[in-house]
Amino acid sequence: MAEVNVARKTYFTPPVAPIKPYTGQFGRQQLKHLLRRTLFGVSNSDLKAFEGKTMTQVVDSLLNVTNFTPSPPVNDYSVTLGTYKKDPVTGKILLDTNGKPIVENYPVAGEDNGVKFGETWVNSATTLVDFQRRASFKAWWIGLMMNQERNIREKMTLFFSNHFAMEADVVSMANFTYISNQLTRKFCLGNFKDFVKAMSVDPGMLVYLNGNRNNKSAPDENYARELQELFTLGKGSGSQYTEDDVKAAARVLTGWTTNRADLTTPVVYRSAFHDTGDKKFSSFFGNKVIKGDSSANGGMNELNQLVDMIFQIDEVSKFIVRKLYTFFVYYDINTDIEKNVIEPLAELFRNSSYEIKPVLKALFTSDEFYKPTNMGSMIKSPLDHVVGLYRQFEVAIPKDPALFEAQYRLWRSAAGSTRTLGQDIQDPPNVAGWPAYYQMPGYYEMWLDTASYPQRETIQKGFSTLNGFSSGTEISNVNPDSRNIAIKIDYSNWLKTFSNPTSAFDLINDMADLFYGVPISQTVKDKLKINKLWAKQNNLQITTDKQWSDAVTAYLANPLTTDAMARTVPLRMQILVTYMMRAAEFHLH
Amino acid sequence: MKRRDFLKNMPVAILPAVVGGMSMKAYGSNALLDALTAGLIETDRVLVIVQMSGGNDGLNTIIPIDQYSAYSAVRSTVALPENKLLKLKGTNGKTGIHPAMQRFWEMAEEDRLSIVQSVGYPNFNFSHFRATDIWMSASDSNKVVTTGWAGRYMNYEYPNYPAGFPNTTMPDPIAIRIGGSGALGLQSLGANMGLSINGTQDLLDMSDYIFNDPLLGDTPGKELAYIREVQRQTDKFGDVIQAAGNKGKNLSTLYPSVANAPGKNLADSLKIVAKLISGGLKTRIYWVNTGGFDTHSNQVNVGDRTTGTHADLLKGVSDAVYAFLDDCKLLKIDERVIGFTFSEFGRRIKSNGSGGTDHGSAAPMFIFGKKVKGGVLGDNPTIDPAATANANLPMQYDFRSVYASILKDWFCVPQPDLDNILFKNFQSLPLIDSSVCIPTDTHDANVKAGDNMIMAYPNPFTEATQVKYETNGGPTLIQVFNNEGILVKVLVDNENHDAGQFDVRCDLGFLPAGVYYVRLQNGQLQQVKPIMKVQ
Repeated sequence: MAEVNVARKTYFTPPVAPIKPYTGQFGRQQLKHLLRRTLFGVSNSDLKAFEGKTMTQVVDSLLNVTNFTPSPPVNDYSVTLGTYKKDPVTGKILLDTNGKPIVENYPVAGEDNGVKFGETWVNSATTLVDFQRRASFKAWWIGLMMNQERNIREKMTLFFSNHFAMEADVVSMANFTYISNQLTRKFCLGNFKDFVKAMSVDPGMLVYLNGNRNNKSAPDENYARELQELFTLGKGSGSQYTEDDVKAAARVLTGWTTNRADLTTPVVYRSAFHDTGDKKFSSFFGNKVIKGDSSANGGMNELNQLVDMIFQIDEVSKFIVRKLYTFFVYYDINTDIEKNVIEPLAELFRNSSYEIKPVLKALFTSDEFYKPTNMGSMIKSPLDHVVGLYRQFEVAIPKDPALFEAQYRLWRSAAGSTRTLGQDIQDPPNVAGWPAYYQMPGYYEMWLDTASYPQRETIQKGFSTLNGFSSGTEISNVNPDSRNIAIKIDYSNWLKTFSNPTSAFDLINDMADLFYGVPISQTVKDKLKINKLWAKQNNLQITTDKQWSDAVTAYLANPLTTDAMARTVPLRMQILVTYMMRAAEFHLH
Repeated sequence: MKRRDFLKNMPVAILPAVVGGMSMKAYGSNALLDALTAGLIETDRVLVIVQMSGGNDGLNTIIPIDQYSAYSAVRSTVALPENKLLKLKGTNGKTGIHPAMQRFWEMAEEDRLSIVQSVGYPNFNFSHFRATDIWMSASDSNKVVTTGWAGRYMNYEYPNYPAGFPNTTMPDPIAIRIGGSGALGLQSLGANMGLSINGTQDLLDMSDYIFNDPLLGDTPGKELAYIREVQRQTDKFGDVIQAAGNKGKNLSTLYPSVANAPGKNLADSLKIVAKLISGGLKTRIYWVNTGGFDTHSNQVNVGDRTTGTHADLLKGVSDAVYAFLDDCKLLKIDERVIGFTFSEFGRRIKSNGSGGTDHGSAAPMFIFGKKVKGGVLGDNPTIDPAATANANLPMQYDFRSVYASILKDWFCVPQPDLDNILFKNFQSLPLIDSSVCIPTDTHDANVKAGDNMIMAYPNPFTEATQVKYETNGGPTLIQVFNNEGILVKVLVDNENHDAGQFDVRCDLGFLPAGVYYVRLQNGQLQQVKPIMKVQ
């Protein structure tokens, strides 16, 4: 161990003062900021659930995840669609009394490698329709975000799936991708060092970075390099591993192979492929030598030593903390933040043996986190934007697993939206993850450009103004109840989540507060009321606060009311919502 | 002074005398006269990029008839019948094209189609995404480059973009992508040069926009300023697109129009392109997509192999492009438009067990338009009748040679600049009538368009250069990137400035010679300028 001590001497950071805790008022603004950064979108009900609690109580609750393994993705694809019934003479599509096409010939749903429609495919080894399984996986994941509990699980899963970025398209085996995702969920609030060890022999990662082709006669350096450059040490000035260190690490990592045929042993260690020579590292790692181990467990023994050696370098803790800061707070890490935020949290990370939770807790209770300049400073990612829409408006999504066809259709559509906006979940552009999370100088600004901006408007407009999302008529006969389910904003329910919807003044105030990262002026709010909420509709026009109050009261008492003025309320709300989402402020959180 | 600059700076009255010394004929039909009489706008050239996503099966697109027995042996389940292949002009019957590409065959007969055989690059990558990135960035296969080749070209042409754009010199988007969002191919350092549209409707109508609260100088204010700048550009360009869409026309009746007809979606995109060009847009590059080429299984109909999935895909491209060129001719813009197709890879030599073909390597490229030279470039690939399942075609031409030839002969980019854009010197191919590079280049005006906020002198330089920059005040950042987009130096680290002009020394003595990019960021404004370090 003498070599390692040298490394500590050279690169050891002197003890630093702990991060400054937040001692100010923990009010609605602070709570909203915390929830925006740790959940996908914030709703009135989210705010209500935590109202009156202290900062520590809320943070503890957000970090208290009990269920890390939700039920797995299912076969939502082994089905061919029904056909429209046509007039035998004219060939025209026949409509039912509601003006909708009549569907006939619903096929009986099929199977995928013995996996029935609606059953999970994760234990069935085949890549025959892998693109469908990958789409099912992505839909499932989006669904978990939409239905998230009020805790940080989904945000941290995203953080680490971006950290250990893998492209499902390249891995080309959805079963492996699912295993990687499960591993990420298991460790996302756990021990980072153990996480790195486990990820190094994850089947998806072995495929993605060619670890499964790394053997003693032809070492492949791909994973060995990224393990240091992207996963632990980074490329900052405190990271000084050498090309020879990459080569030596590659030799340590030889011998691991993947097995696509049998999911009970997706990873097989073959000692015959393992390089049993000694691996010598540079002075950056204290000239450490990892002795060749030819035992049956040699690969794992050497991997443990390799990771332990890397984690002796303090830069690992700083690199990860910088990444967490960028993900949760802001991207501009100047020398003050490095000294007062990064270094204390990094020290805490090291002193907690690389447990992730204590670092998050310190960050979310820090003075830095609640600085007003950090509130509303982040441009929403496509996932924050799209998933946030559903959560913010508390859209009811069918929960019954029997309605999986309708659910997966919605989730696939949402996954398509985030892909359109530049965030194809589990298919980032490369092993570095999405550039918006790391690429200086633009960072989150990269989510928005003249190409993606109008797409956002199109997506949010479709969300708010049409009749929502329909599961469609072409659904198999497995459960006809999955047909024609409309998933949309229910304005009467949503209005009730506000404290005082009968006051147009309060309502617009609260909506602006809920929607926007930065405040808007009373002048703009007044215009929203007069020009949008109270605009004329079919010769009916609300012109006074009393009229609005009466109309909303009548509408909320009975959404199917015959009162003409009350019946304008949902459309007025829809127009206001659509318009308010067009503000630049809507894309900040 | 370069010759074209010299010509450009001449008073118009004496131009004919100067050009009189050169052969008018060499410039082709009446392009030069058009240039002199109709002004620069009318002569701006357009490139249409047709991306065929999924990996097109090149061996079933252009077929080596001279090796038919080997071809049919290794492709037992997908080989096309010899007597149905359309023989290509100038190949002595040795090279055929898929019969579904009847229209491309006609274009080849008329010298409106050039075919380049076996295009690829060393060390092929078989991932769709990675291979697509390689084609888009024009990088070596083992290098990750975060900018696109066309984006770098456009940054060379309009280095000030996006600051101060649109403007009178360039009132229009520089590049347009129809369907899909910002392609890596159109990405420049820090800015995507392409505007993404799905039609000619206004992208963003900000006319009743009321969210104009004053910006605060804090962090959220900086981000809000950025979003508002994106909105402004989207709005401005949206107006331009709509106006051009209203003014422009489609005259061809040949576009596939029946729902689900092969090529319908591609044709719809190309119709928008023709309409926008005829509507007067000065946009240089249009990017359109057509997908579905990932034919792992059942790519042909068993009963008639000239039909099926792959045949429909090829027919779609061929019919849509043919109609587009017909439209260009009727709209009298055919002198100004060329295009090419690309796909991220070809497919294996041997067909697989499920009636399809797996991810492979080299494949042919098509370059189309009135101004292309026509003909088939390169030899038929050699097919080993004993090819194994993993065997791949070797490349004959590097895809970057095609890019280089287009930039050089169509956009008239001089060789040293070309080498910078593509990172090295690539072989030039005789694809385009090179006499089209008439001296009407608008490069100088383009370089000056927009707000020139940053420049370096001397440039090129050997050790160090002086960077002059302008800031509107507040935090100002100046960085230097290498040509792979990696940050090599920060000259000014977000220091607070008063508004005005400043100087900073940029010493790159420790770095290898080559092209670097200086990037300025000040509030929502950003600008990137190339600088060159020489030995």
